[in-house]
Amino acid sequence: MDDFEPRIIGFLCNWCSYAGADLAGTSRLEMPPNLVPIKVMCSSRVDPEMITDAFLRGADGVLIAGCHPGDCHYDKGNYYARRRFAVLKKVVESLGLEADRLRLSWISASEGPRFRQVVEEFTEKIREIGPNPAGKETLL
Amino acid sequence: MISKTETLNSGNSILVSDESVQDSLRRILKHLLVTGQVDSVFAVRRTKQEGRFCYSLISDHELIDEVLPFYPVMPVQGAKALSELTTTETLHKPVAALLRPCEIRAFVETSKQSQGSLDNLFIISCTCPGVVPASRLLMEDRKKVLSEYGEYIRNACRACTDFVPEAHADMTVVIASDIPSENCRIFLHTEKAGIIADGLSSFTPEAGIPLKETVAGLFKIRQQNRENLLAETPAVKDGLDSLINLFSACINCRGCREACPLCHCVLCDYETARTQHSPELIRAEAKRRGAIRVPSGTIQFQLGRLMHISPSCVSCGQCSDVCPVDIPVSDIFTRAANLVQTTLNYEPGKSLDDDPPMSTYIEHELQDITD
Ligand code: SF4
Ligand code: SF4
Ligand code: SF4
Ligand code: FES
Repeated sequence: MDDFEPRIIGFLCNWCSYAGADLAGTSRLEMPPNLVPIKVMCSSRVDPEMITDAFLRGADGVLIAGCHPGDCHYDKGNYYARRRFAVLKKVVESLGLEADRLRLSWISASEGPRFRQVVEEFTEKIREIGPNPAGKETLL
Repeated sequence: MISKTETLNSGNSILVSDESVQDSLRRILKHLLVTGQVDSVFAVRRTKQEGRFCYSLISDHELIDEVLPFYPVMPVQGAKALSELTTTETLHKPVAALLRPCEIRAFVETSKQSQGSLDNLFIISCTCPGVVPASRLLMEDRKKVLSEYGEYIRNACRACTDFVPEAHADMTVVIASDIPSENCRIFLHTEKAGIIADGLSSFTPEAGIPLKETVAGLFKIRQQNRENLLAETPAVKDGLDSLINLFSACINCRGCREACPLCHCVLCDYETARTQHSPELIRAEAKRRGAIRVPSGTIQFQLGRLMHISPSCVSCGQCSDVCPVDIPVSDIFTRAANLVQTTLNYEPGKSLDDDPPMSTYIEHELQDITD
């Protein structure tokens, strides 16, 4: 589909990735406008329920971005987030759904260019996969 | 004659009796109650109504004749029932419990999540041939179901490769076996079991072959069935389409959750306002999609339950058993659990010592799924 513009939800950790996104912005790095950022206080704040909800309501991709392992503001939050993400990925995979629509990336506050790169890559990936069919279903 | 405790030390000690499994087990349970070695017995028991059964906590030894030892049905998951008895306080006095391997595993999991305790439990388990759905035993010709019960065994059991208790059982009664026998054979695993065995006069001790060797053939069949189940779960054939087709029949009764021994939240997330869609949102989604199913959230609920339970699911089959519209819930969970548990390197119900999988982490793990 040529006119397909992916809609991607991004849960960004306040202490790192959100600041990284901010830095990308203030550095005037150009990037695709497809990501809708939602600020969370830690990657571990993202209940998988929020992700499945976004998915069933038609988000084409969901990105979770948090501090690099070892750097979580709350010490261990991102390690738990990673386990939950693994469970989600595998559940989605076991159901034959497109697990590639979900991504967990570590982006620090100083990594503006990395933020841009992740958004670019992920938007391209989602463009390849195409629109999320769950967004059109009438029975969820 | 070798003593029973001696055979125990040989590692493969068994007790043999000429009586049937039913009579032998009733004899043991009665003996335990009468001698005060246990305070009560937890087992499936027949009720007054012909053909009905339920789990019971039995303290009167006269009622042991009503016990149906390893009757091929799971009225409720034993772990769920035991959790009710041991969550707010542990057992004060010893209780002998007849539990199938998946009930033990589920109970170990629930105990790790502080929803029960194994203290003071004396566990008698079996090499498990599987069970039939309770509804079939209740609704269909009972004699036929019981005599041909191999035909009626549920999917989960056909594909169960953990039908021999690994740990936590004190005794294992041989029921499923490659070597059929008229005798009742009981493996002893613990010192407690040895002491009890020494007081049983109608059994003779023998040195047997390792328990697992007696079921190697059945294990192979089950393994093949499991592979087929993992490959063929209907929910996965066409991804989202199959999922939606399957759950289009769901009547939202939440029976799968109530029956699951691991779903123990007093207030399920999916009953709270936090996860319920507002009327405004439902109207908006209907506009955008053309229509929307109400009540909404059937698949959302199932995805949530998969998220919460797949790390610890013991593939007991109970959720499929209770589903009134025959959704193969347990097959779907077994498939997810297989992937999730391999990824987290976790075996539910195996040990009380390792942390519950979602309350722990390893620093350098899972790097291939993150970047
Ligand atoms: S799932 Fe396995 S252990 Fe449980 S009843 Fe079936 S065969 Fe027995
Ligand atoms: S038991 Fe079956 S019908 Fe009831 S909520 Fe679960 S899947 Fe739906
Ligand atoms: S999800 Fe189903 S198969 Fe798994 S433990 Fe719960 S009731 Fe048993
Ligand atoms: S504070 Fe950023 S991941 Fe925990």
